[in-house]
Amino acid sequence: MAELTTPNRTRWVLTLVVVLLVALLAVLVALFVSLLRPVGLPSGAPAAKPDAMEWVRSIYGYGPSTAEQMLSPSSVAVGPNGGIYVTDPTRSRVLIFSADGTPRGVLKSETPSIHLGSFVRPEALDVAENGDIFIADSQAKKVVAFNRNKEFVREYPVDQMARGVYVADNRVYVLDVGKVIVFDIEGKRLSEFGTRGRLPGQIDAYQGIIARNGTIFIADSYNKRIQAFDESGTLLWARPDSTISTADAGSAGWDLPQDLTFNGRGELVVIDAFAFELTVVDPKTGQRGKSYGGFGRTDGEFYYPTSVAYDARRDWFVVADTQNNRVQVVRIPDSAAQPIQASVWRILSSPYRYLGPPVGVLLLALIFAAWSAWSMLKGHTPSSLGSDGFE
Amino acid sequence: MTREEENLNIAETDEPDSTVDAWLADDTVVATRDDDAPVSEDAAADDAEAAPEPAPEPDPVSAWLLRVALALIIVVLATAASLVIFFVTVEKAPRTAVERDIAASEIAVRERSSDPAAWQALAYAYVRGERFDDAVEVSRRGRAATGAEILLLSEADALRFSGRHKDAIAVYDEAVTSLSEEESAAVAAREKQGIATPPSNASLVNAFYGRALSRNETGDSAGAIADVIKALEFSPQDSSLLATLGKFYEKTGETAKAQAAYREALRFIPDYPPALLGLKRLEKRP
Repeated sequence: MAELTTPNRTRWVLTLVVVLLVALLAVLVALFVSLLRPVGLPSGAPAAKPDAMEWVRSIYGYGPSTAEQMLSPSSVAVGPNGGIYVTDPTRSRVLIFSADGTPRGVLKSETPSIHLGSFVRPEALDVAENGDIFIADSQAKKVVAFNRNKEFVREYPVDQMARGVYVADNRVYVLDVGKVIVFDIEGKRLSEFGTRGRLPGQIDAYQGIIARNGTIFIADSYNKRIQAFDESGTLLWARPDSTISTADAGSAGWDLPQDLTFNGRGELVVIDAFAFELTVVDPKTGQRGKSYGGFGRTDGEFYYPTSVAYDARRDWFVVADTQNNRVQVVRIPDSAAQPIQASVWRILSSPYRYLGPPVGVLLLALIFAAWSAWSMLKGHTPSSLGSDGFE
Repeated sequence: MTREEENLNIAETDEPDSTVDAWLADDTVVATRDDDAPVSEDAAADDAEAAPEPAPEPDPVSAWLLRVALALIIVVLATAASLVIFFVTVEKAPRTAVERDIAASEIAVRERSSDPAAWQALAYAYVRGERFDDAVEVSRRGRAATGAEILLLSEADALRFSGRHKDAIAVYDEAVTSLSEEESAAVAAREKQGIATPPSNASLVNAFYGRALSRNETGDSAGAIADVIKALEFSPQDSSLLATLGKFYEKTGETAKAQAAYREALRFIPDYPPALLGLKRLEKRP
C-alpha cells in the first residue's frame, strides 16, 4: 500500500474535519428544530386544506404550573406592535404576550378592588394605538386605563356593568348593560344610546363592540344577531332582522355571537361561542359569509370561544378560546390587505426566526467556500489537481 | 550569492501570502529570514548549483478545505450561540394542549405522588405526546409507588398505542386478572351490605376493550370478539363497544351478527357514525 505523502495526508485530515463539522452542524440544527417544534401539533390539516382555518399557535400562559396558565380567558386585544393582551378574569389579571407568544408581563392590581386605579374582574379589554390598555371591569362599573408601562391613567365610570370596550380615534366606546356609552379619551361622556331588550335596535350584548367610519357594530349575543348603529344610535341594520327563537338559531342566524373585529379587507369577522366558529360578515349589509373552525379540545379547535382580535400586520386572528383555557392564533383565507408584507411579518414573529442567524452565517460560508473554490480553480490548471482533485 | 541570501531571496519572492498558505506550505523547503533557521536537505545537496530552486506552492486543495473547515466552525458556533439564546430567552410555557397536559400532570405527580390518578393522567399525557416509553415507565413507577393495579391499564394502553401488541396483551391479561379480583371483592362487599348492583367497572371494560383491539391487530379475531362481549357485560349500552363488535364480526364474515351489533349501537345513539357507516358498508355487500 502506497504511503500517503504530506499534502495527501493533510487533505484527508481536513476532509475528515469538514465531514465531522458538517455532521455536528446537522445534529445541532436537528436538535434546534426539534426544540422549536412543539409536541402535539395539530396534524397536517392546514396544508391539506388551503381554504380552511390555519392554526398558527396556542398560548396557554407564562409557565407550566396551573397558576401560571389561563383560566377561562374572556377577551383578547392586539397591541400596536402585535402584542397579545388577554383578560384572565377569574384571577383578576391581564396577561401580555409578544406576537410570537413569549410572555411579556402581567397586569394585576396588588389588591383587586373597586377603588381608583384598581380592577376586580377584567371582563373585556382593548389596546389603543399608543399602547394604552383599556380594561372593562364588570364588577367595578368602570373602564380603567393603564399606559404601556402599566401605570394607571384614568377611569371611565359606567352605569351598570362594563361588558365591552373599544378604543379608536380618541374615543372610548363602552358596552354597558343594554346600551353603548361613548367617551372622549379624556373621560368626558359624549353620548349614549340603547335600551336592553329583544326588539331591533335594543341591545342585550356580552362584550362585542367595534366602530369604524361613524358606524358602531355590536355582537348582540343574547339576541343572536349583529346590529349596526350610527353615532347617534340610529339602527342601520340588524341581521337577522328579527329576534329568532332558540330552535331556529342554528340554521337561520347566530348561535351566540360574542365578539367581532375587522379583517384587513374591512370585513367584519364574528366569533360565535356556540357554533365554535369565526364567520366573515359584510359590514354594509350584515350578510354572513364563510365560516371557519369547529368544536374540539385539540389545537386549532374551539370550545366556547368568546373574543376575537385581528393583527393586520401579520394577518392573523387572536381568539380567546375560553373553555379550552387558552388563546389561539389562527388565520383564515382572504383576510389580508397586504398579503406579502403580512407573510414577512409572520416569519419575523415565528419561533423559527432563531434559526435566522445560523442560516445567514451558513449562507455566507457557502458563498465564501464557492468563491474560494473558484479562485483555486482559476489559479491552477486541472492537471495540477489530479483527475479526482487529489494529486 | 550565499545560501542565506538565496533563501532570503526565495522568501521575498515566493512567500505565502497568508498564514493559511504558510501553514500549508510544503515543509521540505523552509525559507526564513532567521539566521538560525533550518536549511532543507535538498537545498544543501544543490548548494553548488547556483540556480535558486523555487519553493513548492502551498497545496491549493488543502488550503480550500482549511478555509471551508474554518467557515464551518463559525457556522457551528453561530448555531450553538442561537441555541443558547433560545434557551435563555424562551419561557418554558406549554405551546400545545399536549404540552400543557404533560406539564400539568408532571406537576401533579410531584405534588401528589401517592395518587394513582395523577400517575395515570401523566401516563396518558405522555401517550398523547407519543412518548410511549415514558408512559410505560411512568405507569410502572406509579404502580410501584402507589400499589394501584389500575396503572397496569395505562401501561398496556401505552404499549398498544406504540404498536407493541403482544406485550400489550400480556399486560392486559395481568390487568384483567387483578381488576376482576377487585371487582369480585367489590361485588361481594356490596352483597354483604344487601346492595344488588349490576356489574359496572369502567377500568375492566377498558382492559377488555384494549385487549380486544390488540388481539384484533395480532389476527386473533375470535379472542377480540370474546373480549368485546365480555366488556359489554359490564357496559351493555356502550355504542362504541357495539360498533367495534360489529366491525369485528364484519371482519370474520358474520354479517348478520355485525348488522345486529350495529343496530344495537344505534338504539343508544341513533346517529352514531361508526354504526351508520358499518350498516351502509354491509348494505353494499353482494
